Amino acid sequence: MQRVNHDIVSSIIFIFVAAFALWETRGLSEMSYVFPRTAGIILLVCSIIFFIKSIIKKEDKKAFDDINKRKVMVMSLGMIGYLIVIGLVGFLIASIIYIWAFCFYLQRDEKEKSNKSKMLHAGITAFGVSIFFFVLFKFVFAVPLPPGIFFGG
Amino acid sequence: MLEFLPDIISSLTNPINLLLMCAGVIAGIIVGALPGLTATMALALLLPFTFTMQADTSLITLGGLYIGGIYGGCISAILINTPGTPSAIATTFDGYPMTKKGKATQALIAAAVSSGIGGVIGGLALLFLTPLLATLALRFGPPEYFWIAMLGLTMIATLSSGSMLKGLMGGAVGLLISTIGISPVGGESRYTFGFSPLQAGLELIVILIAFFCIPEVIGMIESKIKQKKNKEVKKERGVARKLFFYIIKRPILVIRSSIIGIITGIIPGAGGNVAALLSYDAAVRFSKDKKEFGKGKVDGVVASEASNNAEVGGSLVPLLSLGIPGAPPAAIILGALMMQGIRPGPDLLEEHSGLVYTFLVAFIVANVVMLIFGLMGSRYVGKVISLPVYYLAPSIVFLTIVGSYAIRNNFLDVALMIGFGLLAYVMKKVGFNPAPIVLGLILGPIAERGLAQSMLMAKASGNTFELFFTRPISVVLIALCILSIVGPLLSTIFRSKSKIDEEIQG
Repeated sequence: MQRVNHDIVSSIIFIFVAAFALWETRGLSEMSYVFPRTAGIILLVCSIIFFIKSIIKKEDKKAFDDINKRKVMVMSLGMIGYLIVIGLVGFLIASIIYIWAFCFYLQRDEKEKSNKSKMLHAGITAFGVSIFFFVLFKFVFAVPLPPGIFFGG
Repeated sequence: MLEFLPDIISSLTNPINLLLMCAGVIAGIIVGALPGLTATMALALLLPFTFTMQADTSLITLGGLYIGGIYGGCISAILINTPGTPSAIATTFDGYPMTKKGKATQALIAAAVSSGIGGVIGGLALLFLTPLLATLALRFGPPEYFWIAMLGLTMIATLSSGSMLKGLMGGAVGLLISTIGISPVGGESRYTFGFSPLQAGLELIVILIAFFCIPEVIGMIESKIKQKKNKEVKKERGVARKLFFYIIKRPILVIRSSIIGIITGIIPGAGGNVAALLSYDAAVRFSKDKKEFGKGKVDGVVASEASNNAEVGGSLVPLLSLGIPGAPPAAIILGALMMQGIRPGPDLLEEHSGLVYTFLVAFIVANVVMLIFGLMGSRYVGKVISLPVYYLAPSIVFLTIVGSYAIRNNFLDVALMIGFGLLAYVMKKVGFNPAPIVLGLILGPIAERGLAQSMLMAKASGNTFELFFTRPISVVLIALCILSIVGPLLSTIFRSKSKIDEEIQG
């Protein structure tokens, strides 16, 4: 399978972003469009030059080859999941669940540790970090943290 | 000033004042170190408690908190690549690479020393040059703001590691992101897609966390090889003394950065982030080994930190001399003065000289206190980074979430932070450095307001050229812009020419 050239792909995406940004400025008054339109034109011109340059001078870059894609995917989805769970059960419970689950998951390669001790360490970290910062933000800095829709948020 | 010396001494030897100054500095450092909590927020939280205090006690406490808050921002910038306050943005460029090399403690010490020195220089400027510098602030109009933003944008050349074209694209993306929300002059909504929470625009701290922290935290766990710990913090004896003398032996770097900080501070609206970025850029341009910047060079941390702490003093100049706050935290201090029944303005120095001079001297003392606490704390704070990745990564994600939520208590900010963070990770992987994007985002609003207001002024006066290109400060800024663009180009040409000559001779 032919390797995807990231430069070509990203330049095409940026051409679309610039075109969309310029399209969105239609109907605005001069004072509102002058700046975004200027930035959009700069982006469009640079992206076209970058596209041409990427076609002429193809470089074989391995942007995502040397990474553990599974871990990255789990981490990314985990953050999105964390956000959803905060909305449901509130900040404190969601944080305890998230930190505990990820501390445990990321200890997978620690062969010398038993599952029980991994769980215990993850639990201590999860409760310690979450409760400390929850108290600090909620009671010292008076930041109203989200309670979650299950708890009247 | 000498006639007020007894007042100053009596106020500064008052144990309550000293205790509250120290408490203010420590609280400021803690708040500044937490991403999402800014010095402005901390000052606003403390403000109601100062109501019952004496005027001098109130100002000393708030001053200490302000100084500590600006310094504290460097701690998370150095340790987890997340500027605790926007002022610490340029500290990430070399501070975090130093941490990656196991030199977190050195970076923290360098930041403490340079912040202390920069802060004291800023305080001295505040003490002796207040009336003089304030007249400069009044000469800044929309065209000058536009050109100062342009000067900042020329930094893209310095910040785009690898490809200048990618840097320019990143900068343009940042400028576009900065236009989300209501137009500052036109008043129309842009890129909000009918979604009202976006009308206020994107919160800078949220985007800073997204672009600087999320890619790093994913980067911590992405390795295919088992990675138990971050790089150990190397133990070295006498490192504080060594770094102190290293910085002292570079007076031009520290003084230049402090002057940039003071001048940026006195210009209302420019802020510590702009000061740090401009002085970092200057440090790179005047350095002999430019290539070392961005890879963990201590001079980068020194330039940024000396400048953003000197900016604190600068931002108080228009406040004390004209009653105009130079930065959002200065606006809170203005509130504190008004709560005490003191009306800031041109007469402040005459009517309340004793109080003003006490505050100014206390400001300098607070910088020394901050330096001491910074040095003491850096030994221990730096060790945080040697925790195993499996504890550190989820805890950092937790902090980014709470930090991005705390700014406006807005759940959308958290969603945007994660969305932009994941995008930033992919962009970084394909070679788009986050720094030019963030630079565009910071300077975009200043440039847009300057451009739009200048255009309106030009329409009224009927002479665009005269307005943009002939005002004295604009001419200086344009010359600096040209130098900033042409300088690196010429040096590249000369370098490649000398390389060819060497090859021919060899």
